[in-house]
Amino acid sequence: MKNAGLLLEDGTFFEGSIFGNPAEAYGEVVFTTSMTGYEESITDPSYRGQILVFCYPLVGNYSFASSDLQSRVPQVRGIVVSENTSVSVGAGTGFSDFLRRHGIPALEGVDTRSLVRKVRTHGTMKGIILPSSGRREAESRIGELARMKNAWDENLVGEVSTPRVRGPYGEGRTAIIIDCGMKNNLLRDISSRFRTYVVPYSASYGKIQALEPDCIVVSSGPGDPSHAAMRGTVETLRRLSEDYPVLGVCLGHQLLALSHGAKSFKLKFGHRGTNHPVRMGGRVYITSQNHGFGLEADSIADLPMRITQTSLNDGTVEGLTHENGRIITSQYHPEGGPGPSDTRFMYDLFSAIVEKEGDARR
Amino acid sequence: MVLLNSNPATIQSDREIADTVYIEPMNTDTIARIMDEEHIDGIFSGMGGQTALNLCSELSEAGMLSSRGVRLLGSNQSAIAASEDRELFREAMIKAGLPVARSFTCTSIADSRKYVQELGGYPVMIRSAYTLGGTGSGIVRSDDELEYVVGTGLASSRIGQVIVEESILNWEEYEYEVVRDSAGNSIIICNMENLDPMGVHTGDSIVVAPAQTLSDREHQMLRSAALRIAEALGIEGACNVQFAVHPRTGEFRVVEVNPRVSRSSALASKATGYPIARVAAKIALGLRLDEIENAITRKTTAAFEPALDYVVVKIPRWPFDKFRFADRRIGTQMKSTGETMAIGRSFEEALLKALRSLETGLTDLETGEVAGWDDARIVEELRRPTDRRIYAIIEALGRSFTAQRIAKETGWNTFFLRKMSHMVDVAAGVRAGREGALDEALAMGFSPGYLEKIGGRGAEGGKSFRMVDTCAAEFEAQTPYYYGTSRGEDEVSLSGKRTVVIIGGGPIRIGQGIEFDYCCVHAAISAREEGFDAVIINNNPETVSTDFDLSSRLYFEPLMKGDIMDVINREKPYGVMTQFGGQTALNAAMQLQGEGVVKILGTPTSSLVLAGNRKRFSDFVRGLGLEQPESLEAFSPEEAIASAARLSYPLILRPSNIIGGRGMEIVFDEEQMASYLRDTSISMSNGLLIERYLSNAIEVDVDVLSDGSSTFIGGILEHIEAAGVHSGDATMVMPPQTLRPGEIAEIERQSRVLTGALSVRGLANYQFAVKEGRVYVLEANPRGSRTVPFVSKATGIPLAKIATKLILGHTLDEFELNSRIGEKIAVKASVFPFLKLRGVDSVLGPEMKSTGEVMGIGTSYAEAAWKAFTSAGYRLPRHGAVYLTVSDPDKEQLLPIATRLAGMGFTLYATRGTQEFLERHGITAARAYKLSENLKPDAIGLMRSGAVSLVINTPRVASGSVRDGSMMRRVAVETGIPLVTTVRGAKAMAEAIDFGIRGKPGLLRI
Repeated sequence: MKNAGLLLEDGTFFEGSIFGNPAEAYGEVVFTTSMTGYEESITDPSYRGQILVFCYPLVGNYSFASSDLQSRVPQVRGIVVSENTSVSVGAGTGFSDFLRRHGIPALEGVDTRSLVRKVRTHGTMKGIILPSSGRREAESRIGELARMKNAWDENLVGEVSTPRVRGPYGEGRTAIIIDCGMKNNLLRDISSRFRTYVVPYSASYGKIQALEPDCIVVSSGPGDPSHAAMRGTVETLRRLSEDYPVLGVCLGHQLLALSHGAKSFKLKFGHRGTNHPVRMGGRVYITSQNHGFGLEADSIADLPMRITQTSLNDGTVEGLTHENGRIITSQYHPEGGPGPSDTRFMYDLFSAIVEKEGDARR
Repeated sequence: MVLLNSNPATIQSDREIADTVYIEPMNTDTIARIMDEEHIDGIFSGMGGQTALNLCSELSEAGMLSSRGVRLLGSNQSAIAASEDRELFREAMIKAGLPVARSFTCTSIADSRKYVQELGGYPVMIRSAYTLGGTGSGIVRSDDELEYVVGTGLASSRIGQVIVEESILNWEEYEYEVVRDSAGNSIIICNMENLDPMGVHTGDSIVVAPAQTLSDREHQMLRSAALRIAEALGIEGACNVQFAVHPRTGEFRVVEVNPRVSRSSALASKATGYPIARVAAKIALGLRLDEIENAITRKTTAAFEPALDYVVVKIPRWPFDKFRFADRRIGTQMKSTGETMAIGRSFEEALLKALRSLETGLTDLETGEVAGWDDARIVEELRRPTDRRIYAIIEALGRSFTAQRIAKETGWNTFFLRKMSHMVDVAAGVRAGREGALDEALAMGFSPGYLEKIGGRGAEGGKSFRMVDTCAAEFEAQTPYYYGTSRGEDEVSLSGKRTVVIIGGGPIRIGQGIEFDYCCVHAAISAREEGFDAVIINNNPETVSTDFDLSSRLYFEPLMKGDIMDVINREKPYGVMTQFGGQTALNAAMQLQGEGVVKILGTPTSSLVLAGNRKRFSDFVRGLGLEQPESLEAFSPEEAIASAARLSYPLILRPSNIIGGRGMEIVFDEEQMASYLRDTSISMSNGLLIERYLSNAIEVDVDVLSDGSSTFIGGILEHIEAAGVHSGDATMVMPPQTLRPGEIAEIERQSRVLTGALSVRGLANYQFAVKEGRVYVLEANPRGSRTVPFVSKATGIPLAKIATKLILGHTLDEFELNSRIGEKIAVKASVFPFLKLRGVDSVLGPEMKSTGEVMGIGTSYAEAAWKAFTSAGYRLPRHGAVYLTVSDPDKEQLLPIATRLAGMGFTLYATRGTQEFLERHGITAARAYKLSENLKPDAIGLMRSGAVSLVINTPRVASGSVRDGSMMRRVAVETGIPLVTTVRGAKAMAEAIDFGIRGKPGLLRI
């Protein structure tokens, strides 16, 4: 029975049935085109503050594998799918249980394609999952929804970053991951090459320096890079990038650019999926992406950073290289989870920089 | 741009497709001559399937490209070799760090036995190198099977190699479609999951796209492997990679790579909207992916991976409804003739639509004969599948077999079985009148027609149509490519122009070939030229009509009444065209005629009804003062036997309302008649027409155009075989070679009389028999026939295009219709699937058996025949021996043929009767013994040893139920020795052989 639904700020109501936790959830409604990796997606901290719509209509086809989670808890505020297949096809109750345990509501039976078309046309919108309301009751909530704060105006990074220093993991030269909402895959990839510490986004220059790093990695994360809560991080990055090789991923890439004076803007409906083509030199790579903000290309023109990678879909900035050759960034996720590993070479490039730098220092 | 294809039935060999088009035998000799004449710079290897790839391999290996400075475009020779030669392939995979099944290459049966031991015994997998559709491959479980499969494999492999391999039977099978450019950019267009696990050829598997049961981790593992393979092989263009994944451990093996566009690429293109072949061709010409425009968005480039927000199901279409004696088991040898694809927002919806699209007479969850099977037979079917496994699964689920158990027997993933189980439950709910079940069933995608049948009263359907846009709605797209779904809002955008709906041809099967798609495509183009919006409804992913840019709007839908009506209700067309889509469209016309809102354009449906009913048509023909062979109608076996006695044998039996001659047979005595009537697959409820068989008559096919008042004779095709061979199988020649002018005039007159009387508007096809100067009407088909493309190419008159314009109101006098035929002679020969289908006798008869056709054009009959036979795959001998064994009535006609063959230097062997007859007429022939005579030399031995290079065998009875000599014919098929089963066919063959020895084939541009 469809007795629940999703109300959008423009008043549109999409009917559905509730699963997971039968509660209300408010957030920015976004969609992903990835056809696989639902466990990874819902635990990606970059989805903090958001209600995630899956374009692919069947979600839950294969067993929920906790080993594939990108963080310990679901990070989305809510989920919207056309069909939650998990229980009926014998993939178990892992998916629903996980959501219920963590208080996350989800909707199934929703005409997600129409919802996606709406979001694509209007841009992302505020939305609220109503666990036991029909269209009529939902209408009374429109005014309230309109007055609610945009999710990206909250300090989302603060909610997902590690509260204390973790590590070290792995061996080799020392890398510090500044955790703005890191995915487990990034830690796995970095710690397979470096002795890795994970520090809070708010860690000071001094605290990071005290760990005697050889390089810095700035992770992905949710929300707006220009948010006031990120000013400290941006300032720290400005100093760090004078002294260390830095790899910036997604939000990390944006924060690094901002630390050099670039400006960000909100994308109409973001890039979320695992099929995003990015051009780098004469090559095109398919990448995993999840971001709602981008960098203004014009604002980079006079900076000591070059745009080395661009999106083939909309021409937006996908990667930067500092003139000093020690800072490289990608807007996409070389770590996948979900998504392809075609751009793992970013790590090779970074490792080479770190090696060279380390030798020079010695 | 020069194109070579021997197949006239395809859009590809239309004059407009390339600057120059050759319809010539596809061999290295033809290509060499074309390269010289046309000053070719490069040649595409990856577009024409395995045929083209093999040819390019041969050309390259023989140095015929390098000596002329011709470049191989797309994947280079080493890439082709590495993907075709199993050893090179293994080496390349191992070098790239990719796992392959353990295997050994061998060149003899003895070798193969040794390797079976090394692999730890049976079962093992046998594969032959360089063959099409898995010929000579198979899972082998015993020494006997090994001997047979390895033997056939060695014979059919171009390089005489067979591979013995570790069995990965019942591992899950996945396919990845890769596109890679010369800069190394590579993308995956689509992945696909085979429901049938390893052991069933992917062409015979039910396939779903995208893969449903892979986690992202597993998907990325295979995706990365696929990209690495493309890189390791240096693919430039498209390639298809097949993986086997162990259902429990998750380890995988690379099974196969096709370095070309394949049947799977076509499916992936239609499943995603991404035009793989178009992009691959541009890559072969040197463009990079990011330099090629995205045909969907027109703003971005081809360098992206499609995202789907729907489920696609493909089901193969097998010919076993026609081949009643064929071995129906499916395995590593592909046996299906075609396939159908369906799109839905859920797996259930896509599966139900695909089942409806098959046109097997069953709809939705109906299981037909399988419903009557006992549990033991069901289990056997689950274990050792035939084409009916899907029905056995449905049936088993209905009998409360658990998904778990069925998974164990079939190797299917429980995901699909649980989904199907749910479908069966919902249907049961409808049957039981459970509240809410009907709505649930409708939402799931059941057709209202089926629901009504199972007791769901008041089921109202109505689909909305959504767009296939390659990007899961992320970007705005303008693709006029739609699928119907029970869920969500409608996205169709109409132009406001007047619209015609063209009913497509559905899956390719015997009797319903690609010719009808050709007609539909021409109809769409022509209607658009007339300012109409042309809408196509079809469900065959292999066709041109389902290219989304061909029509104004494409609906990828089943062609059952309810599904068609959903489109019609959405489109509100000016009219519907049912002339072009063969039997499928004809069935649609019959079903739609009662619907008030539907205007069937062209010939009135009453004429279709009339022509489809044997008895009424007989009366009608006689009423026109035309002759028909004497006939009687029967509705019961007793009546049939009595009528037969009155007419006297031989007789031809024609059930009503059939196509492809299904159930048609010639019987020579009462015993055969009784045997035919015992066959339960023949329904007599619509009547069985029993007709005098005109032995030795000449059969003629006529295609005409009419605007409703005047008639244009498009082409007269003389059959080379005597009447009694189905017109779909017969070798035909244009213009007629043996008919007298008076007979031709009479045929034309009768065609005009029939056209007028049937109120034909558009196309019609007639079949006549000519005997002793008299013309008999055999059949009328008031619609486009399978000879339309052949006639159009032979004459240069695009019949289907003009027919469309006539249907839309133009008159014949507006067209200049000048036939090219006369300067040239054109011969059509048929292509048969005998090698793939064990148990099907290669004797030609009234039941159609061919799956394709080729065309030979020449300045003489002999040249055209030589080209046609060569194109059809006959290895026409230049020397050696001919084995003759003909039935008594044919012996007289054999004399000049035998004389001629002897004169060309062939040694003649004959069986006793034939030899004695030849001796009596002064022709020397050596005696060959039948197997039963137990003496040497016997026919089979002569054939196996390679002594005999042509067999002329006309069995006593041209009928499928006769087993005489079937063993010998089977050997001919397996050894590739040309076999002719009619005496007139033999005459044509002799002329062709003579031309092959003495003549010089020319190249003719069409």
